[in-house]
Amino acid sequence: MYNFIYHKAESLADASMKLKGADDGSVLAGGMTLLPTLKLRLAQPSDLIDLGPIGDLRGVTVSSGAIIIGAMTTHASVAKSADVRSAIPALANLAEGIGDAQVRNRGTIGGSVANNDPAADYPAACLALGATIQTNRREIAADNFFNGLFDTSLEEGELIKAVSFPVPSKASYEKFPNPASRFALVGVFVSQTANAVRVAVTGAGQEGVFRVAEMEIALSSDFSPDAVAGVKVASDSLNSDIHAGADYRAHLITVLAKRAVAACK
Amino acid sequence: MNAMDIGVSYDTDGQLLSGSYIDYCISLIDSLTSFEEGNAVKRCAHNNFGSKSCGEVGAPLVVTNIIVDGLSPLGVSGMLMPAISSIVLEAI
Repeated sequence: MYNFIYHKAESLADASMKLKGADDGSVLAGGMTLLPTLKLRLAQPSDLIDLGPIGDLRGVTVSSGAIIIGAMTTHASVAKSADVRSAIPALANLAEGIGDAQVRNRGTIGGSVANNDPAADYPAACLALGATIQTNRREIAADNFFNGLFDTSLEEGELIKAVSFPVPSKASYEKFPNPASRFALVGVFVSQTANAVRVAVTGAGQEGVFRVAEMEIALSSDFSPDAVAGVKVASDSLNSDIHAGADYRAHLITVLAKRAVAACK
Repeated sequence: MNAMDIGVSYDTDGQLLSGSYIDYCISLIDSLTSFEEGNAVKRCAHNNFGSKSCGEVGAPLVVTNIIVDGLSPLGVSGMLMPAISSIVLEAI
């Protein structure tokens, strides 16, 4: 690990100001990606601005038809939240399946969404549930937020305050975990609302999370596992690595989409 | 680990691809189902000790043979380690 200056942020405005004042600052949320990256000397920020002390970034609130989760809420808190469990059980299940107990007790939803790891679980939930990312400056629809590998629409100094998930009629997330890291080798999130079906895939795309229009159309007229059984995502734009080739990932997308539809509640 | 989770692998430049536990899987408590164990001892007839090559770990082979045995009704007669899901699917 290289040296850096450590700051405690008192508020998002304070964090944004400290970030502006730093040569090459990084924001620390749960640190479940950032800290290993620093330990391996793969990054060398001049300053680390810790969002940990900002208490009002933690917690789940219920508003009309939506679940709003503060950016610094840990995966374990989301998994344990009775409000999340009753409104969007698929989201509580997703949080419960992230990494391991240690990661779930440190890692945060804001950190996961801001990092946009191509194999992270939360981006699939955001995209499939049509979430809104609330920042210190504006609200961004999930459809306009994820811009490819580790890239988002967040501008310099823009920080996530909360993520708002509209409550669907039904939803389910099915994940085939990478046996080593427990990241998604492929994860498929399916949701149904009064006027739309959305299917989002994580872990598979070279450019990160994406929606599968063909499955959404098929499910809109017939919401059943059979409706997606024949839909294959082309493997050209999918990841290939030591854990699985692109063809196998394409195969898994269809299998997991079927399972997700069957498990939707 | 070598039997079921992930092998040690390198890219064409010799770079180790499974260099951390994010990529190289350590078996965890939920990696295996519960099973009964037993030993079948057959002494080697070709030396005085009755030993087959010392220090050789047999478990990965046993695990792989169990998988092949389970899949034999589907026509699988052999498989390379590690039996990760994509390799198992291909074998079937």
